[in-house]
Amino acid sequence: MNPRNQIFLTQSSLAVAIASGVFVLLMGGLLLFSQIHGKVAGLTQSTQLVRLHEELRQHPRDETLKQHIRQLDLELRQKSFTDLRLSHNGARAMIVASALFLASAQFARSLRRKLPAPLTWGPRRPAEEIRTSRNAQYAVATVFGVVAAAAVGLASHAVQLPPPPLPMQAVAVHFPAVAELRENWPAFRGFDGSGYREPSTLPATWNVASGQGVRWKTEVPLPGMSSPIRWGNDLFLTGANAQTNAVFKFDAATGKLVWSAALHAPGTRMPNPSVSEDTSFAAPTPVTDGQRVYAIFANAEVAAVDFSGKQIWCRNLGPLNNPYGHASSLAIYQDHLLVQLDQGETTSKLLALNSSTGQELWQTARPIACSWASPIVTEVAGQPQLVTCGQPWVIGYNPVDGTELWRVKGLDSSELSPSPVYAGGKVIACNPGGAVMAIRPDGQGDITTNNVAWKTDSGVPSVASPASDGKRLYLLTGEGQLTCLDPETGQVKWSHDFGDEFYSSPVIGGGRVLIVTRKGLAHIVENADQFRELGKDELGEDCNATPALDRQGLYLRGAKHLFYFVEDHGTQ
Amino acid sequence: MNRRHFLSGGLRGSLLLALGSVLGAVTGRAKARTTVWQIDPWQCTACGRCATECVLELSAVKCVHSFDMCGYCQLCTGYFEPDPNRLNTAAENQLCPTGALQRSFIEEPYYEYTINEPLCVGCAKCVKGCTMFGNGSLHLQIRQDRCLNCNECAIARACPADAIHRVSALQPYQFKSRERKT
Amino acid sequence: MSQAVAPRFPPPEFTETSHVLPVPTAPGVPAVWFQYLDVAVLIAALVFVSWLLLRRRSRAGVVATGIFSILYFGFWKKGCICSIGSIQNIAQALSDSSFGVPLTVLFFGFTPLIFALFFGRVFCAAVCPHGALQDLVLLKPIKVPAWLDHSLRMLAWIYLGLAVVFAVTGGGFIICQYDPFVPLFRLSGSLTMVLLGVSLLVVGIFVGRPYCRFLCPYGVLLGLASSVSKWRVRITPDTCTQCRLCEESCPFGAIEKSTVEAPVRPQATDQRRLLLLLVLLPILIATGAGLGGMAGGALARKHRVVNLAERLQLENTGVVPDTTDASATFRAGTRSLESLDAEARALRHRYTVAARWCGAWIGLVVGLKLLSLAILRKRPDYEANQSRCLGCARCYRYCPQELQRLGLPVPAPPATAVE
Repeated sequence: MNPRNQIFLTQSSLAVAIASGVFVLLMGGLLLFSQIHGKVAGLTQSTQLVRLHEELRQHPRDETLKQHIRQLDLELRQKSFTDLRLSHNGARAMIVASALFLASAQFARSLRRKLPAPLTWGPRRPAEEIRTSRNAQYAVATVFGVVAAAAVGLASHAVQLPPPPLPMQAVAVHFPAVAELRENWPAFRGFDGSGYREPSTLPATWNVASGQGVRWKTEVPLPGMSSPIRWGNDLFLTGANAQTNAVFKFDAATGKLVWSAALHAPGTRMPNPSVSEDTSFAAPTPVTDGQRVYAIFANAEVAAVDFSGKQIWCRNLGPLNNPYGHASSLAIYQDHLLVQLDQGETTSKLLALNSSTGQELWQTARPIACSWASPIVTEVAGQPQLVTCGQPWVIGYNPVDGTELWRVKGLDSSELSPSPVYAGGKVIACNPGGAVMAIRPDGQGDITTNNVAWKTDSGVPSVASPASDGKRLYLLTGEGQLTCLDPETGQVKWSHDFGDEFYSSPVIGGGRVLIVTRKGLAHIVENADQFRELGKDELGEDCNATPALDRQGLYLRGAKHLFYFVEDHGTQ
Repeated sequence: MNRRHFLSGGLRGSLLLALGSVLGAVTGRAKARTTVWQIDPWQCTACGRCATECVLELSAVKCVHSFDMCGYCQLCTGYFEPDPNRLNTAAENQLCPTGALQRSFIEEPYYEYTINEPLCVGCAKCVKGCTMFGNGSLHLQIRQDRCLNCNECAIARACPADAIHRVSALQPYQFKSRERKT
Repeated sequence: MSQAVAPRFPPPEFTETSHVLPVPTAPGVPAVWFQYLDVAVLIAALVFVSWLLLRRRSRAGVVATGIFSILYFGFWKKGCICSIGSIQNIAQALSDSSFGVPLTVLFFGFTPLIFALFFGRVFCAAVCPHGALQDLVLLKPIKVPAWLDHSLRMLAWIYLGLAVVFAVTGGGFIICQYDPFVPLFRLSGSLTMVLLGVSLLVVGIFVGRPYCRFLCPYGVLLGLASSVSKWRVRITPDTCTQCRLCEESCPFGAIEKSTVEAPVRPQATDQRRLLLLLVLLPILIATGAGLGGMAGGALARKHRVVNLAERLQLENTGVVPDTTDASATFRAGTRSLESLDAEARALRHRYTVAARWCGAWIGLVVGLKLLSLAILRKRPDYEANQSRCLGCARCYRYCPQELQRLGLPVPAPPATAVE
């Protein structure tokens, strides 16, 4: 080729190469810059826009603010779509320019190719080749070394998973008979949640200062709002503070603290969520089946402890998202431990755990907002039913598999505390600030329109749960109005206003009804169709828990002590 | 024949055999029919990742509207911000950041909401509002004319609800309807 | 089975206008025959390149086909489905019988290998868009020192092992996730991947085909297959005259020098080294397996189920304060934590086993590589290493026999010989 032509071609192709190369660099820089801004994310995740919307909600009539939002919205949109277009077209332009660059560069290169000159490279030296091969071997060995070191490094970052559950123990399952359950007080408000026990003795008078009518009074090691439960000669309570969740066993006859079991779930202890002062960390009442005691606490630890104080299992169901703190007590049906976890519309659920091992048997989502009522286990037409209250549904489930049997709408209170009671063949559910409904619990699905037998809006409780002996139903409002109704018809028999604040639920026994104010003043009235007050006694401390009854007396938990009050016939 | 050639030929034969057996083991399950990626709208939690995780800059995921499920409400919770200032089309009242969801009056009190697909980025803000407070008629779907059908879908990898899976190309969409297939 | 969904708001009743509800559009999927076309183009291109490289011996033809591949398999098909990724699909299908492999992927996976068994790495020469792209950007090749070349090549074997581990255990397709050139073909992708691709290309201006030589897991398999190929790239069309003109012509370091001038003399130390390496081989395999097993527990985190189970555990024990979208979605669902944890534990075990195999594989590969480096062969001619030659045909024009065959003037040797 003509050398002048060659030089010209070389120089011109080099020029083209440089020009297109520069273009590629500039375009690349521009695209990089726009990419950093995140084309779509900048639009959908603009914090500035969120802030402006918040401001607009504060000042809904601010016209300049609206203009500002519209302006920003338009700018963001334009920027986003412009960026997309720019990157789309820019990338294509870059490709074309790069192709031009490569073509011209390769062409220039081909014109300037030098001839190979092997003789200038010197002869081949085999020793050198051996050395090269040795170096290569060392380098390859180094690669293995680096990979090995990486593997060792990774070994300390292995993923941490919970250990496998213990194998199911073949424990002979003994389900207590109904008579045995009735004889004891194994759950919140008794075995069926009615707050009623016969035969029993509700003392009308006692005096804590003098000791009259007080069989014993024992200090409880840790505070809590949970109520006592009883099985045989054993009394169980739960208490908790910031560091410990514990179950306590007291001797029912002497009141002595037999043991105190601090519970440990595997792994780091889940910290307590913030709870309101009225709730405490141990608000839910434990439950027992005669073999083990089951308890749940505010930090979502659920545990089973046997009667000798040994922890059988403990697990954490949390974290819980409950503004006041978890308060729903546990319920048990045969070997199914039932846990009502109502925390909010998307996360409320009902779980059944195997009582021997704690493993989940079933869980079902609940369309319920946060609530603090406890479930009850009853029997309707020979079939077991688990009845729950939550905002806005009363729902009956089959406790064996968690299938929903029926539901009734009507609980619109956002602070639902009263638990249901089964009386006179009906489920009585309370809607604080609204009405009390009596529901016939037969039927399938949504039975709101047909199965509400009666409704009343007088004396509707706000915190305390109703109690019933089947013949009479007692409702206790937060301000102290006690109403006695006929559970079949809803007809009010009498009503009396004590004018005091009540959290604890009424209990019925020995022909009497007992209620305790938050300050610890117990009122005993006759369980009759007319109001007649039988006694008024001080506890000496605050009281929010519901009493437990047995044949001779009642167990009451105050803020610091556990009491056993019996009928005093003058001797002591 | 040279010893090296013999060895080479033998190895070649055995490699061919190995390839053939792998091919045979796998061909039994070879699908002549193609599959494509699609979102199960009932699993989707409207997290917004569909807009940002797609390998394409403008995501292949777009909002679609099952009109037979829509309530045609005046206060559409998928169209309007929560507690809207006024029920009009001003920018401060709309949820959609690109204005892709468009509102048109049909008759009192019904309004129709349609999606302008080129503007939709698949951010799922309208889907979230519609599902939480409305009928759930707005939902996200992968548009098969935009999707590249990657070997492994980048959005599927990022989806917190694991809602994106391969479906048969003969039924490439899973639109919501009043009958939910379980 | 279907279940009626109760709407919050009732359906509209249009009384004044007779409004008809519109139906959402459903744009269709691209027709299936497009895929068969891809396979046909693949086979045609492989045949064409084999002929161009081995029979016609034309670099111009190879380059032209390479440009076609970049345009078709690269920019048009956006680089997906590709042969490199097919390893994952096939590995997954082999380990889990519920997975099937699309026919196109099968073809893309096996056809280049079969061609490699007969014709060498013709796929790499001009059919793979990644390779063709890197070949085009190569402007000023520099020689990579042998120790670096050999050691970096190990990365491709390790990448292959890891890709199989993650494909088999359901942890994802890492070859697809970390492919540097597909975002460039697609003209979109995450910033990191685009930058990686661009930097690899910039490196590729000076270092010949870095991805192909040091990273490509499919290249490992092609190299194995072509090492026993029936026909191969021959630098000279005739007999080699030991003129050494082609010695520095290969930008990829694939030309092996003949040992005629300076014969290799086996020395006592070399034989001892060979024995040492033979003994080392099983030790390397065992060490690799052991270390791999240790690392498996960390690799398991890549799987979404394991990741979720770990996250839930951290949340439940109060180590982290918030929930993520994934953990919140799980908590709102009905799956029991026990079943998730059980699946996560089973997966962790699977990862440990897979990583152990991968470690053994790495040990094996390193051991065999060391052995092959220690064995110095006699070679009568200058030839292209069968497994490393990428079929670029650059070396052809350097051979004076070739120039003679083409009727081109043979350049005169330099006047003086410098020692």
